[in-house]
Amino acid sequence: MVVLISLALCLFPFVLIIFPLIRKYSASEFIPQDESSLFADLERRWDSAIEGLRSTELERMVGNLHDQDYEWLKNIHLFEAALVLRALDLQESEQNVLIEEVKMEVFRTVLISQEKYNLEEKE
Amino acid sequence: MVEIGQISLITSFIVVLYTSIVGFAGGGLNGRDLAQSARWGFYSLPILLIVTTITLIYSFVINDFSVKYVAENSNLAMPSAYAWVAFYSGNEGSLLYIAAAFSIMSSVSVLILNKKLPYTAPYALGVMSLVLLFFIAVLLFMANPLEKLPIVPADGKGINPLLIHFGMFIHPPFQMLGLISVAIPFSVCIATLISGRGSRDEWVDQGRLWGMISWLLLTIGLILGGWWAYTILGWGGYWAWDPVENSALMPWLAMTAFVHSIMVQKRRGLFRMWNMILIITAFTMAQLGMFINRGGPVPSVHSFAESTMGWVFLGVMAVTLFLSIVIFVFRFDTLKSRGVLESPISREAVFLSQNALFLLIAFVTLWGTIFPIFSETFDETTMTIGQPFFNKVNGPLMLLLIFLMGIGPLLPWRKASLNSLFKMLTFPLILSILIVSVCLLLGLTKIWAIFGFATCAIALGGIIQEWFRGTKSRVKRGDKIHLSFIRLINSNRPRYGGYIVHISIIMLAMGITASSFYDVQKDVVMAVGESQSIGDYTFKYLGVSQEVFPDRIEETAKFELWTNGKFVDYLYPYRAFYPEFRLSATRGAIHSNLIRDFYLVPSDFKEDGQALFRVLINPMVSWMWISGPILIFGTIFSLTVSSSRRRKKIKLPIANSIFESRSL
Repeated sequence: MVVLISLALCLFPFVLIIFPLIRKYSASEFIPQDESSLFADLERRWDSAIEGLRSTELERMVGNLHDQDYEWLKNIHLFEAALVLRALDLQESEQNVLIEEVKMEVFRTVLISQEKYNLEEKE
Repeated sequence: MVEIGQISLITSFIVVLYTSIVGFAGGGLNGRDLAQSARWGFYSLPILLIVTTITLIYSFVINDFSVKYVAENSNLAMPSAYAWVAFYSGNEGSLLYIAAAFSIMSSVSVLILNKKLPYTAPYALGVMSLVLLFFIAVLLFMANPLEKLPIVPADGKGINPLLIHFGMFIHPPFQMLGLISVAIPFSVCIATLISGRGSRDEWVDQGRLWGMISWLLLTIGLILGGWWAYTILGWGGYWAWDPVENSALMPWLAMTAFVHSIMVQKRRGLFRMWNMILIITAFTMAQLGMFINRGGPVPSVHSFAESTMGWVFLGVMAVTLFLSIVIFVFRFDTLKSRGVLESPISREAVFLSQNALFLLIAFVTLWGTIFPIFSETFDETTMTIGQPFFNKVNGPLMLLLIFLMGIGPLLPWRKASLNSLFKMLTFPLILSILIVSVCLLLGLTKIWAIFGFATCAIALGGIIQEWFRGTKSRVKRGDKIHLSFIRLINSNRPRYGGYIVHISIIMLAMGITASSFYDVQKDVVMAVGESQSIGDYTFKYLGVSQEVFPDRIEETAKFELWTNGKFVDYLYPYRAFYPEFRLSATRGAIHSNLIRDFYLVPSDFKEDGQALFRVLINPMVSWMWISGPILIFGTIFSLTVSSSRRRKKIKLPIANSIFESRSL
């Protein structure tokens, strides 16, 4: 029994190690995106800019930001987002859709902070 | 059964040797089959090491004293439930525990890394394999827990009596896992450097995730260690700046700096080099901790696994540090920050100051810990640095840290004006002044204690203010108060989870401040039937009973405790003598509430019926233990992402030009 278990313990990792070396990879197999590619980097910078915008609105909502600081920060993040779009070299229509989405996201948070949400709903 | 464990250990050594070579080869040659082979081999390691662990624990359960480690760390009198504690109570077993636990944790990390960072993961696997290779090699060639004895003894030596405590089921596992888990974010960082991928912050999310997990484990280990020391060691305190305690604190400090600093890299692309330095420092300090734990030259009250193996750990630490620095210097040009620090009044600037303070405290602690070695080498006299040095130097620095912890999250990223700063600090400062007034009204006059409470109030005030304003804003939308609060917390989990963690740190700081400055201690000699008073408490000594166990002789005193004339509880402090170890262990009886602890510990039972007791009143100690679960909840909460946030993510379309030109 001990011999059998020991044999299994030795064979188990051996099979795991050998299998990827002897199997054949098909040409259509999924190749993951390189985490260092320009697109991945731009995606991270885009997320960071959007997160920055959200955070700026949140800071303003809780009263941590003076109006001037708010405007400055908001512009910085919008500029960063615009830079990413520019670097992506998207078609104008795609850019417009994205900018609209960002504007909507910012507007939604602004509405919350300026307490107009209820008024809008009533209207 | 032991033979199966041995074979499993030998197999794991061969496998990890293979994965440590093939992991790097797979990354370097961009060979998918090699990388996959290394990865799958790596996944088999937890199973192999768990089999070895099970065989050792099984040997404890069946009292197989033919195994040397079992004979040295258990006996027939030991309750079988303590087989788990006995497993890591000695040097060899604790190393096996570390190897097995690390193999599980690192396998999970490799699984995730392979999805998130597919081109960096093989290198990270290589680094983790090297770490594991070291532990398995030590187990196999220097400290084999499954080594057999030529002559089987009838009974074992027994487990160290100080380890017979519920806390021992969880404190050492968390502490050891916490220390070794630092190797995971370290591996991610080093893998990033080796692969030359540091310039685009690819590793930041994974570095943060594993850094937070490691930090959480270290924190739980530290709090549980303090709780164990307080409840079992019978000296009435929870932290003595002992070298073993310090060795756990130092990597924690470096990791705390890292988990804050990595946020700056994520948000701003700053501190790329600094974060690498922090994680290398944290891992070096974690290795130093293992060196001190394993029979390093620094004297320690409770180093439970003494051996001369520490020097091997020190050698490996030196090699790791040297190689890390070489790799860092080699890849220096890939670590330039994307932006600049725009203003000293910004969140990132406060994080940087906080980082510097964390490291300063870590190095002060390091100096105090290793000073005995220098004094012995150069002066030929052994000098140890006691609590007053650490308290006086680190105490004010920690207060400054809490102040920064209070204002840091209130500041926005990039820049804030002085107007904004004053606006956000108004309420915290008012609360702080209020707390100082209350302290003075209560008759508290110790300036550092009042300063400590005031600093905690500033930090707490900032959090309350932010939660109040955020909730109020949502209430005006028409939401109910409780829903508004929950939605606010849910809207940004990393941020609000961080606040919850900060609340637990404030509780910890309050508990430490109160118990350090306002503890009362008294030694009393009492005869049976006699009563004594201390503060509001009156305690009556009712007698002592003696009981003989196979491994110990136990003397338990019985007390009645009264407060302001009202009966509170019976207390049973005891003292046990373990002949096999020639060791006396005392266990205090504690009556605890949110305001203070009444702590009674027997010092000596005399033959004439009198007994000597030490009585302590420790204010707010329970706050420290309550802070633990809050901290765990906050950390886990901050690591999760709400479903609504996932939905709102605005994804970028892949531009045709980029998609087509893979060369970019």
